[in-house]
Amino acid sequence: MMLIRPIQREDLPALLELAAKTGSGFTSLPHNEGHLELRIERMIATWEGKSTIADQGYLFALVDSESQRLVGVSGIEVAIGLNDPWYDFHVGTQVHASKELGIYRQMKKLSLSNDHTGNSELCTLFLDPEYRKDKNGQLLSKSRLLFVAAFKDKFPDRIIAEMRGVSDKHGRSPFWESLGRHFFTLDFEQADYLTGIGSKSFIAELMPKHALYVDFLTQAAQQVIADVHPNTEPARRILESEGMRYEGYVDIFDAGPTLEAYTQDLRIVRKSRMRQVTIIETALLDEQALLIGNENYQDFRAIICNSQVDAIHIYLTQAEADALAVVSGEQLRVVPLFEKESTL
Amino acid sequence: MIILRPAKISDISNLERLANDSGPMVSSLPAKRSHLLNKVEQSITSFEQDVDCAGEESYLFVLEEALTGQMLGTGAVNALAGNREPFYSFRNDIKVHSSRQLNVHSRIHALTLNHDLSDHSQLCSFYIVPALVETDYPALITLGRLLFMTIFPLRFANEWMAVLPGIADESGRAPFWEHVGRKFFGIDYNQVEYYNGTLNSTFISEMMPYHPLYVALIDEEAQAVMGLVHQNAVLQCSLLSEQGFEADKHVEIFDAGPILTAPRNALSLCQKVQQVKLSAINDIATNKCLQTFLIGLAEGNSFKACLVQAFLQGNKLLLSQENIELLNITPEHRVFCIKL
Repeated sequence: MMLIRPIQREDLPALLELAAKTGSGFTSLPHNEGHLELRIERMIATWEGKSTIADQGYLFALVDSESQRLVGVSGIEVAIGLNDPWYDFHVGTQVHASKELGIYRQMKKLSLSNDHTGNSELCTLFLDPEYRKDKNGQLLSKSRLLFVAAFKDKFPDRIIAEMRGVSDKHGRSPFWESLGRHFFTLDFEQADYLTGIGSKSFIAELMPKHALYVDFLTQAAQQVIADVHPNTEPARRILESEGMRYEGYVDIFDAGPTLEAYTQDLRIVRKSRMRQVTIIETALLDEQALLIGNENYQDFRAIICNSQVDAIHIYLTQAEADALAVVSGEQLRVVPLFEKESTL
Repeated sequence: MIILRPAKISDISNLERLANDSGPMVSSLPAKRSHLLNKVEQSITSFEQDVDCAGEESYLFVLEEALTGQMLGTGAVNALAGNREPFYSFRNDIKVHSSRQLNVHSRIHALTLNHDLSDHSQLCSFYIVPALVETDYPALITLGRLLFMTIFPLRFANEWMAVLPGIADESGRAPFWEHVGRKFFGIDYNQVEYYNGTLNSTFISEMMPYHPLYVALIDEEAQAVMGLVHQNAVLQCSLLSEQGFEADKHVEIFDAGPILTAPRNALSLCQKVQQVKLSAINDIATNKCLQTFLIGLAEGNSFKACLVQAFLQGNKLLLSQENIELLNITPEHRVFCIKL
């Protein structure tokens, strides 16, 4: 069975191994032991209630319960931009019009913004390629939202996710080539790596401070604004189905879209319900896949299961209850895995 | 004798013809009769007024063959480039972007729409008929105006400037306009230059970029012509440069032609001009050492200028009896000269 649990110190070697598989273009899980160790410590300090909001973050491990192997991670930063500034470009409109000349034109412009300061961020989602099947990606991504639903008071009222933008097979981003390249002498992969290890604000110091007219970028760059890399398309669809959407902010390097939502509007926050655990001998399976999580902050667990539910109970096998670290009579948070499925 | 003199109402028809010939390059001389009439009337009023501080005055001069009345060129001076409305230019600023952590330090150029030059006095509306381009008469129009400004310092600001036409081809295609202005206006260069000459500058603030334009993002064809002068204005550019005008940080907003500026006191003409008395030459030896002088004749608030062959002896300028008669000097005239 695949389950989600908080990251632990013992996960470091496995995490490092996983990071080696990410390849280029994945900024937030750099293959760098010191960096990953610090990341784990910061997450643990958050769970132990020892860090200020600026440093708080959660990292979840996807584990195969049979082999105990760590095969994926996903994270949430609680409040971004409170230590180093958080930058993105706001894609805005400027109207140039003259009644006297009878001219009216809308110009798109990009303005460097810190508008997401203090928002939560869904980040660092990576799944071992061998495990990209059986709804594992869904579990990895959506269990975070279930965690938010369970512990709403730990999070600010807005949440974002940055989507990777378009780049070619050589790692060249048309947006970077048309814009970032002019402002300093790094190439896109270097810039991307520095971003991953937390140097994004250094880079942003070099970026244009004034609004930019989109018309001055190359056609290729204009076309990829707010587009995602084909590999990121599934991740985008998952988050959009959960109520997140593009609202006019893009990454300053590759122009990938920022998806955002009020946390209270997320489907999982609105639709998840509490059910009491009843242990049964043999699984009673239903058609509907459910995302199920416990309410234990320190030892959060989540699984996907087609368990039967009624108005009060959820019926689990002992193995499922063990995976969720609950005993009979405890409350679990339950939500249909997919938006289109019926509500509880 | 060809003289530079203030424009009169009776010059309108001739001015209109010249404006037609000058084409869109001289945006401050549009071929629109009502506009030209305003310009001449404003000039007449400006000359008549006693001015002790530069304001909305605008002085229009014409170059004329005094005997035939044929009009050969024009030149104007605005006491302030932007009086009732701002004078816009692009200022080429350098932004330093540096990061110690990344060991990167880059200097980024950006064009910022501004009206810093509004309180400069402005030379404009320069035009001369093609037949005289290769002569000293372009110098008469340009230096004649500088002389006028020098003799009447209270009428002008201490900083002077001139906008020179930038690169555009015969069909009226200006590379800078194509890659910059057109994005904002969606119209042709000739059209915008016509608006610029005939409308007030409100449309510029409405249509031009509020935000600085990073030069690196501007198409290279347009970057390449920034600050370059149109070949028809090279002469004008060198006349002003010789006097001490410099192309500094500003370019024109539509074609990126150079904007030359100078503080009055730095100009060579202002330093070398001298007030003289005119005398007739009475020996043949002097006749052989004649040189070309620009002379300016001021009487009350009026002014005219011309070029003469003369010889400077102390504070006496010696020239032929015939020329003295042509100049029609009265005792009220103050005479200033400078050797070309």
